[in-house]
Amino acid sequence: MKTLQTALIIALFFLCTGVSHSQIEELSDGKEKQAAKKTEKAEGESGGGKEVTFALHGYAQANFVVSRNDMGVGGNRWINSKYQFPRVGATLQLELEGNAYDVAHFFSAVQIEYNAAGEKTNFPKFYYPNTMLQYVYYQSIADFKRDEISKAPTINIRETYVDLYGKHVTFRAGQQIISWGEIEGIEAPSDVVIPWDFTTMSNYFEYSRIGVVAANLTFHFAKQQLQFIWMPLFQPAKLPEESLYKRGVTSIKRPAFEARNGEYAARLSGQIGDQFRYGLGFLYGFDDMPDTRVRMLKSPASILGFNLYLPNVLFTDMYYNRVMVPTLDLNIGIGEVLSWKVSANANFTKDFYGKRDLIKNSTVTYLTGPESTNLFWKIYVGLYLGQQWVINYTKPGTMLDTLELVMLPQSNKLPNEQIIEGYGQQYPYKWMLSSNIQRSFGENDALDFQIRFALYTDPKLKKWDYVIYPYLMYKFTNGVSTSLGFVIANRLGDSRNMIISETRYSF
Amino acid sequence: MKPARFFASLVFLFSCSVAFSESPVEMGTRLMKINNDRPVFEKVKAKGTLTIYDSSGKVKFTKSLIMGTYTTGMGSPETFAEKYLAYMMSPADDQGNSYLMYHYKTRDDVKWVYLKGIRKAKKVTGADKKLSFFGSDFTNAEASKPNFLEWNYKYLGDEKVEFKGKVFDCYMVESTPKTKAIMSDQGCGRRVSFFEKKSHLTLRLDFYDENMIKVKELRLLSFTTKNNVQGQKVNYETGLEMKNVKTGSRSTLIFSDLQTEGDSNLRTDIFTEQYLTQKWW
Repeated sequence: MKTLQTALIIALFFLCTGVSHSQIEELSDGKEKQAAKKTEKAEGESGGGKEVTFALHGYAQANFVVSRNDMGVGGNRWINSKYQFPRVGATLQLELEGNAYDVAHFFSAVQIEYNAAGEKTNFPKFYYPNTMLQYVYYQSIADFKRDEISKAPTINIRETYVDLYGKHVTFRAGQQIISWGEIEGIEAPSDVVIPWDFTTMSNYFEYSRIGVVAANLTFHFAKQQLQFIWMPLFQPAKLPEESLYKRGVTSIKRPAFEARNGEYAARLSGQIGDQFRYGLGFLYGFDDMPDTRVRMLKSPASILGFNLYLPNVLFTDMYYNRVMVPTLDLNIGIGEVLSWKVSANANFTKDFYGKRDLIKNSTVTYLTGPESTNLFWKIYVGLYLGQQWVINYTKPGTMLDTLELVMLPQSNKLPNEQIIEGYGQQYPYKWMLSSNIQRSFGENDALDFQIRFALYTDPKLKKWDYVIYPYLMYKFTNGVSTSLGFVIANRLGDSRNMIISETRYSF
Repeated sequence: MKPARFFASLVFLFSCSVAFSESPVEMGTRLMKINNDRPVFEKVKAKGTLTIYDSSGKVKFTKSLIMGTYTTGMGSPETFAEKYLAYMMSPADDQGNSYLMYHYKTRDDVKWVYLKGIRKAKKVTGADKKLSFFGSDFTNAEASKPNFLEWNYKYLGDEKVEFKGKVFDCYMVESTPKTKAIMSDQGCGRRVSFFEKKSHLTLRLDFYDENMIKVKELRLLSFTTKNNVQGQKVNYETGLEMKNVKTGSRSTLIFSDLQTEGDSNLRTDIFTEQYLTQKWW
């Protein structure tokens, strides 16, 4: 009998542990919270209105930038020293965001910046920029004065748009940043809708993009997106004063604000299975980088009985040409470890056949390579190799050959070596290597290290252009961070370096 | 007395066959299977607050998000899919980022992230399981449910674990990764789970690194009990604390404003890339 009783007790012990169970259930916080929630829900239902919300966010930021520019005194008259503080001051960004139920959304980001170093306001103007030799070094006739500097704060509306949401459709209208492609953190060839800001002096990659005014309609269906964009007003890339043309690029003619000068884009993108993503885009717009137009006033001269036309005045201006840009993106998952990405575009200009000496030739550009969030040592890495091919490449006319110098004007052509160099089309193709590498360190991953770089070289790998940008960011606590970036760049033989410090409090 | 004796004998034999015929490995596997197959909610909407404390105990970061989960195919591991969508509400520098994940039991998870800085929804690739979950003491693997099939299990014995000031009897089960690749992927060489005997709630979970040194200790802070859409009782963890025993830092993950099943009013079509940038809550 005792054995049986013991057996029964053991059996009951193994079959249930009711004592502890009943106790632990009593410690569940479900009942209390449920009751509280019911009250809350009832209040919500009766009160309504809670679904229309507005929130103000933003940040205050201290900026300090030191730059060293080899072009400085030698190549650009407006810069007196190799070393400058081009950005010393503070930025306040205010972000107002609102939601009306789940059908509408509003967002506006306005940036107010004070730069103690001042902004150059009287950009150089060009008066009769004649003679071929002076073409490169226009600064000798520029009228910039260093004392004319504005220190007034600037206001920049980065984005202001309204979203309307349907079940399978979204519509966004206003000033907005539109980003295409699978590759991020570098200048991806397929990211063509909005222009780049090449003057940015910020460690935050997002500030290298410029918003455009657009109507953006996207349909979502079966893991695919079909997007249509209309941009009534063309926004070009922002170029530095000491641009790759070694001149002030301020007198660039923009297309008139007319309906016929709008830009249009469409893109189909999506996912097929779990491992394959694609994007097929098309932009009919303007090239974000200008073309050069040179007009000659020629006078005939008779030499040894031959009539030769020699240019006596050249009018030079820059303008934006129409382009058609198809784009391609691929993202192929390789197991769980990494994905292989492709970003490509074809930039069809007006000079597809390469017959015109000043208009940019058409190009095909691609980058391809692996990306992994954590291949080893907790490192995020995206490494992409690519090329840019010039379609129907033609060699530039040289300024060194005297006979060619005389003969070119007869055929209404001009020496275009410097222009072609400015276009980056000196070679039939060039190699590109671009990367974005990131790793977090320290307690709570508070220290973030990132390096972005882009290398460009000719087919024979002799001349190298590069931008190498290591960057550190430390997060102190909620919303408080400081960042320090080092820009090491060399483009067309000019070396430029920057140290960028930004300390930010987000609210 | 005869029927009583007969019943007692049956119970005794049954319990013996269950309790004594199993090896520690079999018992550990069975217990973890029960733990893994605990009923879940079909729909959950909650506010999550992640608080990160430094080694001196001061709050370093507080991050909050709103999340929705929708589980389909609850009947079988092959069809099971837990869809998870989260939107960061704070701090200000993270606000607007969002995260979408499909968690499966028999294949790799699929993840997307929307980073407002780059204005792109990107598919996350790479073994990110041992990376820190939003800079906290949790890793991504520890913040989500482990894949049952990737581990070997062994019952180690019973242990008493304290929860909200009371002591509960728990099974102690060791989990070790089946392959070195899984160990390296998760950054974890051994886990010891202490789960309460009846509710199968994990009250404590010890994590060991690849050198078998104890590095972290997870504790259950709170849970709630409700019935799911199938009428099954669900014990849902609403508070977890992860202590890093090496560095002394700790992080808590608390879910509040929990709404489940029909109460959540959660639409089932929101678990797509479209809703990474669109209000759904």
